[in-house]
Amino acid sequence: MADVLPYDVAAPEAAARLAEATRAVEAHPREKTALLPALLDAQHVLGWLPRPAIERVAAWVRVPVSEVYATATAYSELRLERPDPAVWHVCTGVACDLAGAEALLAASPGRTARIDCQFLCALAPVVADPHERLVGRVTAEGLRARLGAAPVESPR
Amino acid sequence: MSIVATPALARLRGRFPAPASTRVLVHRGTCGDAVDVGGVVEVLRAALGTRASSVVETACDGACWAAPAATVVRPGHRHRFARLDREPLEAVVACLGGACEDAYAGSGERGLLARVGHLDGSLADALAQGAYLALAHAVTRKPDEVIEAVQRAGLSGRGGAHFVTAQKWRLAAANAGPRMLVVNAEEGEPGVFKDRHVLEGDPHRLIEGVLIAAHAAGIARAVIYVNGQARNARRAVDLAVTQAREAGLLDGSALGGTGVQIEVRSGAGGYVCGEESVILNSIEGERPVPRTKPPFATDRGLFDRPTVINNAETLCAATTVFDDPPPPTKLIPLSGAVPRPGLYEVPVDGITAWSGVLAMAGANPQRVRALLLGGPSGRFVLPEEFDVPLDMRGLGAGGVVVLPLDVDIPRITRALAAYNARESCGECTPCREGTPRLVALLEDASANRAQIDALIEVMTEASLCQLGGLAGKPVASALALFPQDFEAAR
Repeated sequence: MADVLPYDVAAPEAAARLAEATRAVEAHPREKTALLPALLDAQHVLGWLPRPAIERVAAWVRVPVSEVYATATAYSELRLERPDPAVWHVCTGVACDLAGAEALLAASPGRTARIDCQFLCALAPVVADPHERLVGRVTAEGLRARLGAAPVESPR
Repeated sequence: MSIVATPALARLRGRFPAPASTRVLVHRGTCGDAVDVGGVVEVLRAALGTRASSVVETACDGACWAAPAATVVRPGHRHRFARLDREPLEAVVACLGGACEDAYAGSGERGLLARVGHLDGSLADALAQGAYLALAHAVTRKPDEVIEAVQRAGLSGRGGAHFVTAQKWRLAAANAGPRMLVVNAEEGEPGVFKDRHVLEGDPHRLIEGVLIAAHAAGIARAVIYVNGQARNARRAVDLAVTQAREAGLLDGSALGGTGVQIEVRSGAGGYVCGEESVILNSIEGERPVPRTKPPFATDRGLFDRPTVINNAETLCAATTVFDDPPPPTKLIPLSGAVPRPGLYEVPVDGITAWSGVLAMAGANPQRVRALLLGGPSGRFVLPEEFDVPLDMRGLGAGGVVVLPLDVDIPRITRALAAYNARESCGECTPCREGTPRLVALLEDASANRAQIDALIEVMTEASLCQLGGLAGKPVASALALFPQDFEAAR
């Protein structure tokens, strides 16, 4: 699991969050069918899936950690790395590409990254903020203004 | 629909107060929220003063282009006001007072979409606007008769595979229970946003379809699998399931029919999850990869039980099949270079063609190079085809991106191929190895033409599921229709 960043469970806030995530995981039945719902709930609390969260899910649904990891890596929306809270994602689906996604990426280098279709094609071009809230009909100036106005939260 | 309410449905309706007949629907939902409709709601409430309580927040009605938008509803009268970020709100206020004409343009037929963006979120409102009428009717018939009606209406899978729905229900019903129903609302195909609109705007339509299928095929347990990013759709379905359960619709006590358990689940991304056997693995907690067939799901599907897997739109359409059903419709999520992108409901009646769809969206066909139909698993449609009547079999999931005259076809083709390569689950070799190789060969498509054709043939014939099976389709289509573009791009 080399690509799973270290997660300091000893840090007070991290420990509290992990406890909360564990409660969410343990609200599910202890069956393999709960694997994905449990992973989603853990990610909902933590913002991503650090190794301790994977281990909690594995123990709860009684599936080897390696198998939970194999499953988690197969879903594009499950995050095994801590997301950068400063980065907004620019949709690069075909409609957004036609509507100028590349110009948005070029306008805010370092603060933007590519993401696949966000299914809001009729309001292209679309960006997603660090909380995955979608913004439609974005212009380069509008994006820069939003980035300037948005405080960067400290990572969890 | 000409069928009338049964006594049981009339009793159920009678349990709720009638919703207000005059109101201002503000189309909030995912589309509205992405363009700050919240600000419009506040200003509108202030402008309406004492009549502020007539504002109802609802979902996008399919006219995504209009967002932020509001629709004034008075008895026998609807008027949509578009782009309220640019247009003054006074007209909305005046309309509520009676000073506007009936105008609700630009969304085509409204069968499945009839209530989408017109509901306040309560079961009472859905019932008042016709929800569960088809179910009330269906449960008075024997299961075989319901399947017969579905067959007569020609209902087929709306997710793209076009399998005859009645046959699928029969195949599962022929096996011993308990039988399962999996609702595929994963909708992970780029460019497709139809199911999430219907689920977000009219979740009871889907639940009614689930209950009709449950009655017809003897289903004990249903799992609704919703795309992980469609969070508003998930919330709406969760609420509607609770409302339906509390009203006695799920256990059969309100209208009749056998009881069914409904569970709602979220996906977590992955185009391959649109493949039905992948969803079965996902629900069981296995890695999301396809299963080999046979066994078919109708024999051994979810937890090895006989399982019907239907697309959400298919089940929604099952609510429209009774008595003299109109010609089938297809939901067409349309985006790209058009003035009015959004979700359209199009009759597939042997007459309607792409030209009609483009006209609804305000497009000038002279300025369209082609349509991309079906995204990374689809093909390009040239203007020569625009007047050919639509055929359900050729529509896939229905996603259309309108491409302008100056579109860079090789660039889009490479992007689609790269997407398939990223999304390949790796379970089978033709797709795992073939999709990245196809991307590499597209670096110089003209020179590599023979290799590309050979590779696509292998991927099409030998892939385990349709992600790999169709990955070559848009590439082959682009190379066949636009060879000069690839030559010029060398």
